[in-house]
Amino acid sequence: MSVYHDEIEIEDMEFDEDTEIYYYPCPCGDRFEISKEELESGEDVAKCPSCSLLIKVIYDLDTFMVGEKAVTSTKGHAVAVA
Amino acid sequence: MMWSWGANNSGQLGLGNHDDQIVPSICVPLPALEESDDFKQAGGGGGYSYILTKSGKVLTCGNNDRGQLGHGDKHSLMVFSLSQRLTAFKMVQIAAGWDFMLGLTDGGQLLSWGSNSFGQLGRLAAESSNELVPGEVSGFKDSKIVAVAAGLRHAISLTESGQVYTWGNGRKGQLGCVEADGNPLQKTQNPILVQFPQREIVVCVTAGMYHSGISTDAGNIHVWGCNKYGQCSADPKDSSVFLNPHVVFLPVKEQAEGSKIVALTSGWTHLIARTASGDLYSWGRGDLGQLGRKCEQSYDYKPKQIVGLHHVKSQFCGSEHNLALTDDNNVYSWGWNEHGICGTGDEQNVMYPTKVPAFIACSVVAIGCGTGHSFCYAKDTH
Repeated sequence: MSVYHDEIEIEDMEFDEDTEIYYYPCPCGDRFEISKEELESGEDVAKCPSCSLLIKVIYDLDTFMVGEKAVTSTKGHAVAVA
Repeated sequence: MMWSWGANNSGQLGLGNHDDQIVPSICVPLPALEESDDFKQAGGGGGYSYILTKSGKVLTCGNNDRGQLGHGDKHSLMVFSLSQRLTAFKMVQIAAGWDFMLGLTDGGQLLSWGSNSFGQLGRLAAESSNELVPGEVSGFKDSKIVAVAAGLRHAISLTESGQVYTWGNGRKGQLGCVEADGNPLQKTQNPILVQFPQREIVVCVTAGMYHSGISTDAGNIHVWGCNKYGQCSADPKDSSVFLNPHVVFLPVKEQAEGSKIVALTSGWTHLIARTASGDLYSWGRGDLGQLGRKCEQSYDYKPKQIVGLHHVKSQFCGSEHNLALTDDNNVYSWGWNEHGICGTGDEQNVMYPTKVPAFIACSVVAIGCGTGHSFCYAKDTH
């Protein structure tokens, strides 16, 4: 059994532009979190502040550094999707 | 009396504090509920909760960072309070997504509020990513909605004429809609009509983290979307997603009395079907005890009966745990138990259905699950 509760693509995480933190729902009701800075340094384990579960973030470090990320911002880019 | 237990990081248990509860605790008295004693339904999403009364009132508490509590603001609450923006409506069903809610009125109108980051409100929101004010989900061919379910970031509804619609996030195929290039529709705020291979009379809809499901009046089940843990009842090694409805076969004796499937519920990555006689069948992820039965691997894509649990009259799934209420008035729990979500008094995962001790010899009216928390409404307690 993996030590990670799940492996999540960065595209499925929500980015908060103010705190520069990526979030993902944790089954306990809180959120897994990892900062942009941590991801830039190659850290890929997002932690939940309320429980023991961990997730591994799937992302391409090289692409990430170039800033070519497709994320859904909580501040929103209200894109009307066709 | 309303009881709650499990994770409480945002005050979602309605106890007036933020302390996790490994055994059921009595919620702060709810005037709107206690006076008329008309509890109907309780549940919740990520760090928030709702109670629906028989008279159609909605009470909410917990995290409100996206306006999901329906109060018209973003102030979180530790005690259940009437949703101010919903008092004009008589609600008959509520569905709670991760950070958004859907409410069905007695007239068959569907309302949504909370986060719209993935189009999960099924409508254009005034603000780009949040909508604090409930508004109507429209775009259905016939106007009346009879059932609704919310996944993590998507939703599914059933119209009076039996049509199934989905909207919100679709990256793992959970909308059941394939684009011209063969990829799943990524996201939409416009309800999409789901096509089934044959004309089916759908009676039940459900949604998980990245999958959706229905059951029909004939007792057939279809699931589509993510199949990472066998949610669609196929080997994940062969296919990790199903972009169209996939039939789930249960090992029930076709003609046996009471063997017809009458209800389908879903956790984040597992599903539970109930027969007319009250037996349960589970499939999907099982490493934390989600399936309530023997599971050799971390998942089992083949539905199997949960042995030793019979005469279930209702069952609910949280993210990774479950509750069942039996005819003889016992509440059973199983699954992930960190934070005491199963109410057993410890935090060991519960691999098989276990009676919640607090409700033995109680007159239990109903039960409900939030993401990582649980509810029970009982009339008298010992």
